[in-house]
Amino acid sequence: MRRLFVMKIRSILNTRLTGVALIITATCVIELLVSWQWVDPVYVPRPSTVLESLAATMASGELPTHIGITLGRAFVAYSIAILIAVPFGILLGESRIAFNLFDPLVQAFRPMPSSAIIPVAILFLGIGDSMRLFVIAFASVWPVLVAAMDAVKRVDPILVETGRMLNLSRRQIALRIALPAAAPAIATGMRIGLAIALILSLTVEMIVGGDGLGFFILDAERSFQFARMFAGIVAIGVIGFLANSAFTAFDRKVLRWHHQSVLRDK
Amino acid sequence: MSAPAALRLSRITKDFDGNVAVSGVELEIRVGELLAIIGRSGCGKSTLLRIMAGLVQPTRGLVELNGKPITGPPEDLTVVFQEYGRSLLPWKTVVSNVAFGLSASPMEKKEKLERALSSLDAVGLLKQAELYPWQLSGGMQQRVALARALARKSSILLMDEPFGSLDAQSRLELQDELLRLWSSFGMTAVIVTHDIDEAIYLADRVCVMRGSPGVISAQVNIELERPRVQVETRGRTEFSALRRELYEALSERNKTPLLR
Repeated sequence: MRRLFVMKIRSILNTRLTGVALIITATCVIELLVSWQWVDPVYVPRPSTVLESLAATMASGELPTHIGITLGRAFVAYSIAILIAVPFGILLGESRIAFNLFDPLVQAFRPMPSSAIIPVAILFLGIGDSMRLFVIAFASVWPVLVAAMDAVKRVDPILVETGRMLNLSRRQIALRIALPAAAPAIATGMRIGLAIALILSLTVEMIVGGDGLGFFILDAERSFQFARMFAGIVAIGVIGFLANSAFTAFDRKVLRWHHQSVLRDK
Repeated sequence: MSAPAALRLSRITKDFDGNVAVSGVELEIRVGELLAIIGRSGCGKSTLLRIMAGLVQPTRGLVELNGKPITGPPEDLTVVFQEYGRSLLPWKTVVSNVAFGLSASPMEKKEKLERALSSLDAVGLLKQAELYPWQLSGGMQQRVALARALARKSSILLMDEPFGSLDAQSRLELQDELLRLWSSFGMTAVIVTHDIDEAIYLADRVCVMRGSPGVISAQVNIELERPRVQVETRGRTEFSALRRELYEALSERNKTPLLR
């Protein structure tokens, strides 16, 4: 009887439901703490109030507009970043000459906190969309670039030799062997780049203002509308979760061969 | 020297930054011949094979294919690598992998696919055409690599330790498979191996390589009748005599004697 109970608990703990349960429990605990006034309700609004505010701003179309602007910018800049980073990363991984020429530059720029380039970007590009896109793209280029470069460098030399033996040109080896072989590692870099694009999209909006979810949150904070502020933060959490899930689904579909072969090797 | 030379190596030396892997090798591979090169690990036999394939440039010397010097991997030559599993593209199905062998040819896609299928048929893997390489056993992966080589219809096939990592049973089966394909396709084949028995069983001629630096120290003609049959051929007295001769040629002084 007792063993059965333990097994049942264990089977529940093995599902992803536990993560959802944890969030709900934590929310309820905060709700109680606030309603008992153990924490100051002025600074920490009740989760139920936050949800009400979230529902209201969603229904009025105010929040969806800001979310749309933030995501739109993040997506455009992220796409630009990928279009630059993947080919350039492959080039750096493929060509010794290009690597020697550009790697010091890449290594100098890469660890720079991306928010540090915002003042420089404002100086040259003003505070319009081009500056915002530049900053987001600049920040998300590096993880993708470095992943592509390392992945191409790490392509099995036997595969490259096979390409040469089959009389493929250097270009064909890059496109038909190195690129697909490097794709799983590039995808990992792209996932990190996506998170960075979202973060920078919000950061720029907080610093420069105007519109977007980042602006929405900061504006709510400055006008002491904390429920609104938290509603915006909850929205970020949901967006992050959805973006990662979408990417994972895409990754599993496109790189099915990789996931299955890895599973088999285990 | 009755048949003309398909491949001719003249005074081949390969020096990897002061480390001489191959030194002054002279070798002629005749058209239609099956030549085996045996030697211990690290004696330079894989390097020699890569030089024949145009994948590695010799420091000195000349490789000629049908009388013309080669500077890169020639079209009429295919290599089956020791790491055959790693030489298959994991994102392509078996049939696409075989057709990939024809990537550089101007042939139409449909024709490539037909050729790939008929080569798979020749190695008995038609049923596995739509599977991925990682879904196959080592022996089957080796057959895919072999089918890819056959699809190219190269006149020269070079194989580096092709059966080294297979279980004993698959190894024997694939040796016979190779002999069957070699005789029916009329190829010239070079096989590098460290297995003396395998070399005798397969080859018309066995070259013995000694290491540091790699030189060809002996050549033995194998005049066992064909077709060869595993248990019978290996049981013949000539086979044991050849084995003894090759062990002697391979063994080094100051080592535990394998012969009395």
